[in-house]
Parts: sequence; C-alpha cells; structure tokens
Amino acid sequence: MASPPPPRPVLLPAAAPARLRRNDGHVFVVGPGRAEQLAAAELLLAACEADAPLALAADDPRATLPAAPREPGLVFFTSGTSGKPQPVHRPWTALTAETSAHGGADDRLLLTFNLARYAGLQVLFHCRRHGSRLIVSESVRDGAAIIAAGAAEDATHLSTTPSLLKRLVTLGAAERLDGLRQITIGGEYATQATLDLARRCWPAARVTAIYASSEGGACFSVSDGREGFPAAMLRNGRDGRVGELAEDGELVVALPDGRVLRTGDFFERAGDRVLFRGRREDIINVGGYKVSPVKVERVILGVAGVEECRVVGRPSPVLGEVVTAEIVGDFDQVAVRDACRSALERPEVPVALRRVQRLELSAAQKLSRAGAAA
Amino acid sequence: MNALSAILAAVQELAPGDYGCDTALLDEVGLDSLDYATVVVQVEDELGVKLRENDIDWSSVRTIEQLAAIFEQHGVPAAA
Repeated sequence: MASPPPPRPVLLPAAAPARLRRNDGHVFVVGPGRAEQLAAAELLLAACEADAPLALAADDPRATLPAAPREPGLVFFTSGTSGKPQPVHRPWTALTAETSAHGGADDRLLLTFNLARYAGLQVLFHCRRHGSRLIVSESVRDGAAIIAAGAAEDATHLSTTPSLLKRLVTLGAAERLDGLRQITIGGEYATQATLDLARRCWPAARVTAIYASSEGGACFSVSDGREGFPAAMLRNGRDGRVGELAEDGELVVALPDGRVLRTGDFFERAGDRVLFRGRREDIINVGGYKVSPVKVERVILGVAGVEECRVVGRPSPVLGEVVTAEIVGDFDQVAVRDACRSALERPEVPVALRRVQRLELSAAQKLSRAGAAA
Repeated sequence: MNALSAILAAVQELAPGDYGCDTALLDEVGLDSLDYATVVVQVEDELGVKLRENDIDWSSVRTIEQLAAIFEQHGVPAAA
C-alpha cells in the first residue's frame, strides 16, 4: 500500500513571506523588527489552521537550521542560553494547549520575545486561544520601543524574563505601563527580589512565575509572590505533568505525551518550597566543589545598590575554576564581599568582583552565561 | 605595576603581614588553595594577563618571587 502523501505546505498571503528571510523550504529566519514579527504571526496562524509543517528560527547565528519539516507542526529553536540553540518539534495542538486557560478578548498582550521563540509563541497562541490583542513594538529587542508600544495600546499583559523586567523598569515601564493586570515571569529563574520588584511596580497586577521549557512546555506556574514553587506542586504540574527531583537535584518531568524530560535544571528543597540552584552547564566546579551561580547571585542581589548581577566560572590554573561576579549598580564592594562571606561557603565566594555598566541580554532576553566575560 | 608588587598587594589584602620575596605562600603566609587562586586571579586582572595553566609546574611555585617569575614568563615585568 502506498504511503500517504506528505502534508501540503502552508499557503501564505502573498505579502507575508517577503518580510521574512526564507532559508530552505518551510524554514524561515525571523528578525526582531515589527514587520517581520507581524509576518511571522500571520505565517504561524496560517500554518496552525492548515495543520501544516513549518520551521521558524530567530535571528541567531549559532543556530544550525534544520531541513524543512515533513510532519505537521512547528520546528523552532531553544534559546541556547547555556549553549547552542537546539531545534524542537511541537504539534500545533500542544502549543495552543500550553497557554493559560484564563484569558479574554479584552486582554492586550505586549510582545517582548521573538515569535520564533517558545516564549513568544506562548504569547501569540494565548491571543489565538482567547481572541486577545497582540501588541507588537517596532523591535522586540528594544526595551524603549516595547514600552512605547505597550503604553500606546494600553497593554494589560506582560510576559518577560527577570532580566528584561529589570531593564524595562529602569526605562520607566512602571509608570508608562500602568494598565498591566498580569505579569508572567519565565525563561529565567525569578528570585524573590524579582518578584518583589514586580509587586512594587504593579501592586494591582497578578504576578506569575512560570517554569517552562521549549521541549516540555509549561510545567509549573505559581502566583503566591514567593520564590520557587511549592514542593507539592511537583506531583501536580500543569496539564498532568509530574515532576521529580533526582538524587542529584535535577528536575525530571513526566510529560502528558509519555515522554520523560531530563531538564538539566537543578533544584533543592527548602521547607515547603523547591528552589532553583542552576542549570547543569552553569554549575561552577571549584576544585571539586559544585557552586550554583544562582545561589551566589541571590546573595549579591540582596546587597544595597546592586541592580543586576551575573556570576560565572573562570578558568583557574590552581583550582580548575573559580567564581567571579559582574555587578551593575551603585554598591559598596566591601559590603558585597562581607555578604558573600557570611552567607556562602568559601568556594562559593567570588574571588573577583567586576563593576560593569550593564549586562547584555541575549536575543532570548536572558542573561547569557555562555561566553560571559569571566 | 609589576608582578611582585601586584602579588604582595593581593596577599596583603587576604592576610596582612610582613612578607618578603622568599616568603612561602602556603607554608608561611598560610594561604590555602582558594586564597592562592584568589591571588592569581586578582594579579591576572591587575596586570591584564591570563596564565596558561598547561605551561606551569605549580609544584615548583612556592614563594612570592617564584609566582612573580611565572607572571614574568607571561610577559609581565617581575619587578621594577
């Protein structure tokens, strides 16, 4: 018996694809500009409606573009925060199902991520699911443009990484985006300082921290204003997801489709909460002692005057690696050292503190550790 | 700043004392391996050099002067 024919490629409105750089068959590279984002939205919705195969890649020179997909659904890339972006295939139904069940036609969602990334897709498919309005700025890589677009169209929903949230606040987002009702923080770990910042800036808004991945979708979300998530939630994740901490602390998630996802993210229990320690690739090995950069950053961010911080390992001829920190803000170096020495084990204390003007965000609006200046 | 001055400054910050070129970093100053790594990183930053780990026989580096000589091998003047 002959095999069924491959699904037909999605037919696009004539004007749309010209805005995107077509790479190979149905693989499109999407830049950060408004025209490209709008064209990508049109392309995605058309492909979803037709249950057609499609591949999108954000403008990332590290990504190796895959061949045109033959299976219905979307191929897109992980953000590559700790390494090279990897292609992921997801069916259209999953992308819609992973959005929040709560929404409405009067929601106005401000797009802060490239639509070729999972975080951006979640915003678009939330709009599709609930008939909400998508607000697209002149560039999803330009914080001032994002705020301007959100203010002009009275955004009600903001989905952001912690790093981008801090950047937007310094650009005046709290005053100009005063209609926000929902702030969703994901992509990076939301520390207590991040959650408190969101609460201070938008006291009337619901602040939700979400743990999601390109491969496994949205796993856990929590809106109680406390860092981490309840330990009980591990067994009761979104849409039937069940998480478990392996012996070494790695989060392993059983997904609704039967797959088991080793996340590469390490957590620890602290009372009734589960707190993030770091990604596998980010753990710093100081003479055999495993240091979580997130734990160190948490301490440094608690020092007065510290606005942003990135902790990375630096090759050491003596110990293999040592801990170093880049810090933004008007802070006292002695206070940072004292805070670290009193709250951390010795191998965790940074051997060098570098004052920097700003920390660059990756194209996925995250602090990149890969290739950070150590 | 030369390597000797940078090393002495970094050591003084960790363990203030009266040290000479032939002072042994581990045995006499009392530095442990973390302190030692801290000194090396701070001197690297101060002098703008990165030591090449594979080129160094660390078992033969005991004193402040011997560490300064390592930096000298990497193009930094050991002393003024």
